[in-house]
Amino acid sequence: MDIFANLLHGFAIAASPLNLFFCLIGALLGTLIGVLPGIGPVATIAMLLPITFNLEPVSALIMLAGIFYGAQYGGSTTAILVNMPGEASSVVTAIDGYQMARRGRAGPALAIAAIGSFIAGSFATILVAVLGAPLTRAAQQFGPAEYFSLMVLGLIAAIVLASGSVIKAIGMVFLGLLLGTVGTDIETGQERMTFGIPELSDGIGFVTIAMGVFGIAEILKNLEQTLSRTVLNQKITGLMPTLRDMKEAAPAIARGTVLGSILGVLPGGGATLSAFAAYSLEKKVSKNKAEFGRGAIAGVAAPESANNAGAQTSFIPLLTLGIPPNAVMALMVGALTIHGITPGPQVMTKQPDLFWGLIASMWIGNVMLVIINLPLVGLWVKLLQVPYRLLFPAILLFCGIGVYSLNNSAFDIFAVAAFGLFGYVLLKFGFEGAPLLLGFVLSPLLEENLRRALRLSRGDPWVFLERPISATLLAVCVLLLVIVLLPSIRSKREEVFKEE
Amino acid sequence: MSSPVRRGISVRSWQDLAGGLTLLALALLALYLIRELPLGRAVRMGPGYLPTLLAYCLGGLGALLVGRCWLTSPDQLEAWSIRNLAIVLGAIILFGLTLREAGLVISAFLLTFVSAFAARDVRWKESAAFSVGLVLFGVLVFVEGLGLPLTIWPRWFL
Repeated sequence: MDIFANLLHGFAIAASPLNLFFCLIGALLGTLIGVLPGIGPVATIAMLLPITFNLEPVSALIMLAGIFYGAQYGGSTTAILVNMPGEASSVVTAIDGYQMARRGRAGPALAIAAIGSFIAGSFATILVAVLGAPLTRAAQQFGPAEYFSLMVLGLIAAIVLASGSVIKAIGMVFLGLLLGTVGTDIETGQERMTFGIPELSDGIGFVTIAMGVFGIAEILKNLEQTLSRTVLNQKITGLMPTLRDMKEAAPAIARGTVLGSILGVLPGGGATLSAFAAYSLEKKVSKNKAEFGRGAIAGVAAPESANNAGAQTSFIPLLTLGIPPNAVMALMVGALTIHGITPGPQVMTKQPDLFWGLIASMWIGNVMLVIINLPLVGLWVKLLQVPYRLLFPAILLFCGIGVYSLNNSAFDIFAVAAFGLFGYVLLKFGFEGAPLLLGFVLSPLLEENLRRALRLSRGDPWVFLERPISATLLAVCVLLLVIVLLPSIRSKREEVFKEE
Repeated sequence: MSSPVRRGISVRSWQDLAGGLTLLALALLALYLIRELPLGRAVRMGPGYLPTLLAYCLGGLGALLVGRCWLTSPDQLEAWSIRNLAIVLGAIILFGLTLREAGLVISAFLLTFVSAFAARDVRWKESAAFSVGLVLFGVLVFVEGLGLPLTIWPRWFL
């Protein structure tokens, strides 16, 4: 089989000492920020993006990917031990994980979370490898009309799956799209909305937006909350789960892995949604529902497997179609463009080293994470005692140095401050950052394909409905919007997101 | 901010009202900025075509939010911490102003030490010590380790 030869090739690349090193760095950093609340993978990846400029593209991607799935491991540690999820995707893990810890079963809870994550991670790695080739072939058949409709679907899905108000999420998508048109128009060379500032003629940097909205605005919001941290003051004894634990957790891990893998691929999906959905599903199918909320091991195993699977399979649409399904993947688009690589079906054919090396590194990274997390759990918990008052100046410094080194220009630093303020205002008015970032990243592609599609059809907008694939994609969009706006589904949707 | 107590129809969701007005304002700003760009036709779009379309959609959504604020579930605007905003954003701007001329050591210390005062539980001695550590870390990792082209000391110093 081709896949095995390709995967083997990928492992050869990922196992080079340098790439192993960056994989380890990514996994360590991911665990670190996963443990620490108040800083997530989006802000971290935005901070590190400029630095990866000097690396090989493969090494850069391997490290950045490690941060994303590493954060899923780290997030569970604090959720279980401190009842404080380090990441949004670990919120549901805290419900049963912390109860297990209070009953003196922190060890098995941590072990099951790690084992589940590892199994899910391995499954997702294989899935990415298997689905890569056929999806790439399908994407190569796409014309501009299909691409346009696919992007619209991606944006609509991001709206449907956003947790807050639908109208506000749509507003953020449009705002993102609009911000994405700032700069010189590629086709006509005219400047748009640049205020005559030369630094803006290349457009607004996505690092600046991501750092401002996800880094600085987050810090400002966190400073207003008092984070209390009481670490369970007990020895973690006996990591190994009992046979009964394993029996209870095994089907939950399987269901979580499958559900997470599916939701990760969907536009707008990813780690957080996967975890929430897996927990709800587990609660519904469980024979002893009363256990949930009181330390059910299935309530730890399912979401932890799901968030890791979802984190990894969300690479599939990025690598094969060039469409980022969530905010982290939107930053990966940036990482690729920095190195002059356009995400899309041509990545697999023109950059096989990058494609297969990255996939193989995910499995290697998962092995590393199990090793990093289980024996070193005490160390990570100690890190929690670093108070936020010391943490956030460090984040600010790394943001500042990172964004400056993009263009060696102080303008970018001021822009980060401006977008920090902008993001803070938006947060205060109940808007979310993720749809904004997605819209922003997709904007140039959307405009290019819209223009091309309409030029080919001589200005006839029906082209989007006459081509079958494009029409199907748009039909799904309409269906999604109708569903989400139906009153009965709407209340259900709010329920799912409120289940904390 | 608190909602005025009135009988009859009154604004229920202040977040929707404020958010809607923000979107409207941004849409108007965009329309003003692109007012002179040629629109073109669908078959050959000008630079103004898509931005104008997007700005109208954004404005429409803003208007929808404003119109909806009398109907949806009630909420209040959260208080803004102007002090934190001033300290954190001020520290970042200070960093941007000093980095090139004064070098990383001074500007990084300013950024980390000044911003620390945004925390309610700041202890200035601890923060000063930690800032020194961060500066050291920054110089070692970013300049020595990663080789970023940053000046370490002030220009007039050399």
